[in-house]
Amino acid sequence: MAKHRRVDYRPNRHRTSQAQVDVAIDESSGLLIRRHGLELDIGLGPRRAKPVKEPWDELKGGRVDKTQTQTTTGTNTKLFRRPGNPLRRDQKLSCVRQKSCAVGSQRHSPRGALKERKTEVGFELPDLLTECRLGDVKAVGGPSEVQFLGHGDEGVEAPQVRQVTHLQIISILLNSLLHPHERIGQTESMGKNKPPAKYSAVGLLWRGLRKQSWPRVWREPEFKNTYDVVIIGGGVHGLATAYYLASNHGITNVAVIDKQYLGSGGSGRNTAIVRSNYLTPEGVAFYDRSLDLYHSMSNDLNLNVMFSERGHLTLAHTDSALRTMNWRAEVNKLQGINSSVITPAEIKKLAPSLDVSADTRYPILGALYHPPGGTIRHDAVVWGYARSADAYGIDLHQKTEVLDILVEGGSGPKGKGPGGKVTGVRTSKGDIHAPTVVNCTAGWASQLSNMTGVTLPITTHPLQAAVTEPVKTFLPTVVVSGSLHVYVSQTDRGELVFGASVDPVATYNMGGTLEFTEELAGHVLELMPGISKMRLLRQWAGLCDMTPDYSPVMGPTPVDGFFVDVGWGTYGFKAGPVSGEQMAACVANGATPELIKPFELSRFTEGTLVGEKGAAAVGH
Amino acid sequence: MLLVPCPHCGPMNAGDLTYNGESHRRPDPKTCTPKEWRTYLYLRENPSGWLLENWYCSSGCRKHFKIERHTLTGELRAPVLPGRKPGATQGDMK
Repeated sequence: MAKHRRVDYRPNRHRTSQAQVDVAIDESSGLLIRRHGLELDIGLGPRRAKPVKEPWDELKGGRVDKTQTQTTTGTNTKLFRRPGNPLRRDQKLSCVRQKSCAVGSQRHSPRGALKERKTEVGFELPDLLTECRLGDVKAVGGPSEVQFLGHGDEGVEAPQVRQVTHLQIISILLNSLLHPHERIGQTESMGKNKPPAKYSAVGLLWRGLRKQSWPRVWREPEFKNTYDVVIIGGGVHGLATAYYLASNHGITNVAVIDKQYLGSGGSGRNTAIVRSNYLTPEGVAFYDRSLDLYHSMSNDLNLNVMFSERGHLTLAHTDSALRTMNWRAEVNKLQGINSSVITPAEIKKLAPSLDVSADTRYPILGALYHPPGGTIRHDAVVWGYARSADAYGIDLHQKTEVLDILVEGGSGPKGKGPGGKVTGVRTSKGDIHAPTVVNCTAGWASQLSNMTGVTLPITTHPLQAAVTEPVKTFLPTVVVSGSLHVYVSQTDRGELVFGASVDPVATYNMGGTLEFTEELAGHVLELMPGISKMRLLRQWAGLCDMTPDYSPVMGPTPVDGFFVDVGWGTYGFKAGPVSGEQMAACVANGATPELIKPFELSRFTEGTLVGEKGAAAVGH
Repeated sequence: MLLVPCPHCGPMNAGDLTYNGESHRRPDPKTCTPKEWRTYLYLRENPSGWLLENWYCSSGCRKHFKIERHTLTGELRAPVLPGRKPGATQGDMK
């Protein structure tokens, strides 16, 4: 318990007040900009008269005061990033600032600002190519609260990311020479069946020199009453399904509906870990395909998703756990997955901060080492799919809540239930007629399926996660401990991200608990006693749709035209691309693809469950 | 934190109890079909609202009991069971 007390649980203690932050900006931002800091206008510049909505308005949910952006001389919302100086990476990175635009415009003459912008572009080129990297967007506590923290360009142990970035720069430069007039993120020219506009270096320079604001990354479409396919849930799964429907099958009359903003649910709350070292052959094949898609995603979507293939360690603290690791390693090898069991000495070499001594309470006996595992920027995945889907002409309706799903001819009450046929969706903005509806929601999956009269084998549990203050990079791999119910990885910013198992009591409440932080701190310190003085910045929760066998539910249901892609529980993010691809094939062809056949809803009534608990319960 | 009132031990931290999920009527294993049995085993209503649940006072009196809980707000109330008045509040549990 003594160890517990040394961790500061108070999330706000470390944060400077708004007033302090403003003073700090006033004093230092001039200097920051003269280096290669980046100043991004989120609101309107003082010269512009017409209000323009920016994509970040959506991301911030209801917290943006729209009246602010409609005045020409009024206060603007700005995000400031600290300079990306690698020498001072360990310095504390701090959060959101709101600042009046007047200060900025008075401080720098337009001419001076222009010069500085040039410098910025030169320095920040690789960063800006990744478009929306304003910082980490995380919903905390409630659904619409958003914080911007630090910046994300401090990847140290991410050679793959750099490779991709450099390749991208070359390809973008070549592309910009071939198409000099194509501008960045140009939405006006986006039409149906066209790939999204390329981000080009020329466009970047052009906008920087002209001090132009950035256009919306995706449209805010008009509400239509008829679609071929309606996808409920604007997370990784829903958007990936929409994207692959358009790109692989040419179906573009599709709407994606979300009751909040895109990526507001589990897609923005997970701990962003990917791996494919599962236990069952079905699971292994599935997640390996997902990892393949993640590998090529940055190029496919023309957006750097910051894939850091840093390796994944699953620790074994007991003989039985070690036996399971050996089993998993053999299953993986048979499927061609790079995965092996390593000894404590090898673990110490890989992650020196882990305590591998034999006299701990839970001694580390070995680990399953999975080199292809790693982390990905989860927001970038959502934005990449959204942008590409939008470019194909798919309508993304945010802040549109589904009130009912219309079904005819079923055996249950009101014509719903098995044997019925979907005719449309009733939303908060009006009715939509559609012969096909796909349920891609996570925690709310049961409620939506109940609207059609289909009962799912799902209970909704919250899963909590927490993040520490940023420090120098010291943890090169993802570390998972099933016995201690914890998984840790260090982000590119240097923060440690912790996750745990789901809360035992089913609830739709996303509030954090002290029990979680207490337990988490104790368990993490068992693994890494050296971090006892680190402070937690914040904790949050996301809703997980847990199934009895820890495998998802995918494919058709007894109601004709109603498809589900749910039950992902605690590991939906790592399966996002492949499930989108397979669900798109399922919807387009009307037949369940082989890869997801084992995960059909009918397995529960037929008794053919796919038990993944051994590999999926805490192993992220 | 969720304080669950055990009928015998009074308010208990939810972590000290065992949560057994939604309360369902079990079909007769002698007469039901495998499909009915699996439906009972696996399928759940999982509402966002009032839910009748089974709890087990594993670190107290070791009794099983039912309680109604609001799955969004965490509010608790006595279940409507034979011999009880409907609409009883948490205070009436004692």
